[in-house]
Amino acid sequence: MSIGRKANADWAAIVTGLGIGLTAALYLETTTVADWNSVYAVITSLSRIAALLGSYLAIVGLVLVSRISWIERSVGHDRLVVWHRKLGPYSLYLITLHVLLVILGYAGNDQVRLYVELWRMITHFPWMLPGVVAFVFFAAAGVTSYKRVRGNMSYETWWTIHLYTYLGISLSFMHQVLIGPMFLGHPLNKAYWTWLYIAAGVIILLWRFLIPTARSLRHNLRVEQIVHEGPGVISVVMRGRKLNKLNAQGGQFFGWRFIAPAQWWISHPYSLSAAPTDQYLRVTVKELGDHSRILNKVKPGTRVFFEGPYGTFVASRSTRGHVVLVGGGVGITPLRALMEELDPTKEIDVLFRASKDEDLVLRHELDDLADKMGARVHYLVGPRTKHPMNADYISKFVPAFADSDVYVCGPTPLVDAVREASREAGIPKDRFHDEAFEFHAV
Amino acid sequence: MKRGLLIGVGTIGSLGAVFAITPPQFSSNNSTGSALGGNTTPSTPAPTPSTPAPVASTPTPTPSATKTATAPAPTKSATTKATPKATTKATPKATQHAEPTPTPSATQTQAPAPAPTPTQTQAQATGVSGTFTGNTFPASEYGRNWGDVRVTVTLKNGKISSINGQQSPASRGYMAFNQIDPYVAAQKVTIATIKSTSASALPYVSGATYSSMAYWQSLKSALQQAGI
Repeated sequence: MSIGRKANADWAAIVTGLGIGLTAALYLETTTVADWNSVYAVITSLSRIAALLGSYLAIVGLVLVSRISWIERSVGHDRLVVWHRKLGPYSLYLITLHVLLVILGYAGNDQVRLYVELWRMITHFPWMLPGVVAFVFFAAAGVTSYKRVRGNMSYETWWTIHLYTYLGISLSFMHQVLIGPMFLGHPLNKAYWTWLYIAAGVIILLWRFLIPTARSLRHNLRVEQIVHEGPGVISVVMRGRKLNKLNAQGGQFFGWRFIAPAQWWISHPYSLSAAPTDQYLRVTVKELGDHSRILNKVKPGTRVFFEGPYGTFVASRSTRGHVVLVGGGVGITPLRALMEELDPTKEIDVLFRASKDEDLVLRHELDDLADKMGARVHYLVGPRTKHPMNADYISKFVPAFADSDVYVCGPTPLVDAVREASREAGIPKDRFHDEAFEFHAV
Repeated sequence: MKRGLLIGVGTIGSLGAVFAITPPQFSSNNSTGSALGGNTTPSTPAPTPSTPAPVASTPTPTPSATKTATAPAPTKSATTKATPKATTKATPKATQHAEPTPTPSATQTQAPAPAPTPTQTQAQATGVSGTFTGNTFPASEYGRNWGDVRVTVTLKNGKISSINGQQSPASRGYMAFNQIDPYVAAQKVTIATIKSTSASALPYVSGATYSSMAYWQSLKSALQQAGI
């Protein structure tokens, strides 16, 4: 990572801070003693502060995953998603607090029951019903992202519900500027808030829609071939024109959208499973969700829209003469692509973890590649207890572990174990590169 | 950690910049929210008559020039668009002749700054008594009417002794007026302040902003009828 790239993220952090300050300022500039001199006034005021901060964080959360290319390059998509996930709940908590407190504050002020007040608000305030609907959408996205709920849900359902947050955030805007006392009669505040929303909207429209669409049309990517790699594992080979212009690297991933009935509307993140060429891209997918199963039926010639490439999980980030690639199951695929692009003079060790032999995806390709590059592949098949992925165990296969660059891709437990092992071995953070599957799913 | 620090620096930077330009006035009069609860002191000094009032001794003097300037919305149907035009057109002409009160507050503009009337010539006609009903004003925002508002005020010796705001159809205003009526009757806001401050800058009840605004407009017109 170059200094320039890091600076991008630093600037983004400063801009985020400026926004927090302006948001706080627009409240502090308009609040009066009267907002704080009775119990219900205090409750109402707190609800407004919660609303402002919650909305601001929601906007930041959206922008974090809006795929702004220069932020993606400098921070890495997976880390942006981690931040998005950490921020999201706080935003939802604050907005929930706003809803509860504002009803309580107004009801107290009017001395009526809570549901009466809620009904009054919905029927008498401008844009209040859309505001309530917005909250429902927002809460739905939050609840379905909660670990236990998410586990029982298909990616498609979760993704669709998450999509409604865009609608929610848009719907909530009008009630803010029409009722919020910090905006009424304060054109500057209104202007700042409006431009905040417009800027976020433009960023999302540009990077999540216009740029990907233009690039998809330009490169005219289509399915060339479906290859069955093993039980439940398929590769999709896609052909397009001038793909080198994408500047994609092995180890990166794209959001793919296959323009076929029943799946054109949903985008899925899959890593490249072979280094990209001028004409071909390939992904290898295990049957995990509905979509992977449907992929089986995609016909050659199907047009593919894509967003990407994303991710900083690439060969060019290695700095040492020795590279250790740790893959778990189908997680080997980005490593296989990345390995092709490693400097052949480097020492390469591949640790391939799988619970069963049949899960050793792309094994033959890996062996061929290892021969060509002089790499060693260690197949570690069996239960987790047999292969504890700690520093001692890894050092058995790779004596130079402590002085290497580490790349790991696979299920979260494996990634966590190898991260811990690297820490134990004293490998600095910037030489540890990880890509956990679930981080793609935003 | 470092990014957290940068976020903090940005926050403090922008907050500091805004505060440096406009320090917050936590007790300002053109307040927001349930401003009625507080002891609102007028932020602008009540205008004092610049010239000795050349007012006729009758309690309802309303010069004709003033009428054209100040009663732009006598009917319900008067659109909000037409109102400011009528006022701005009428005002400059009228000022040359009779120094009327241009009452910019009758317009639906949202200008937050109170617009003090420069020459309050026929004001302070002490001793006005009687009951006056103001013009009807729509509690309107963006073309939507939350209910027409009309204020009836009873004056005794030039002071408000009782006041009653009505709204039809009733919306949040019916609650707002339960708060504003006693507030005005208790002289927490002076007639001079009401006249000198634009309707949008006078205190309002949160959630009933536009009803409150229409209330002040109607009250202003009632005071005008009373010749104050």
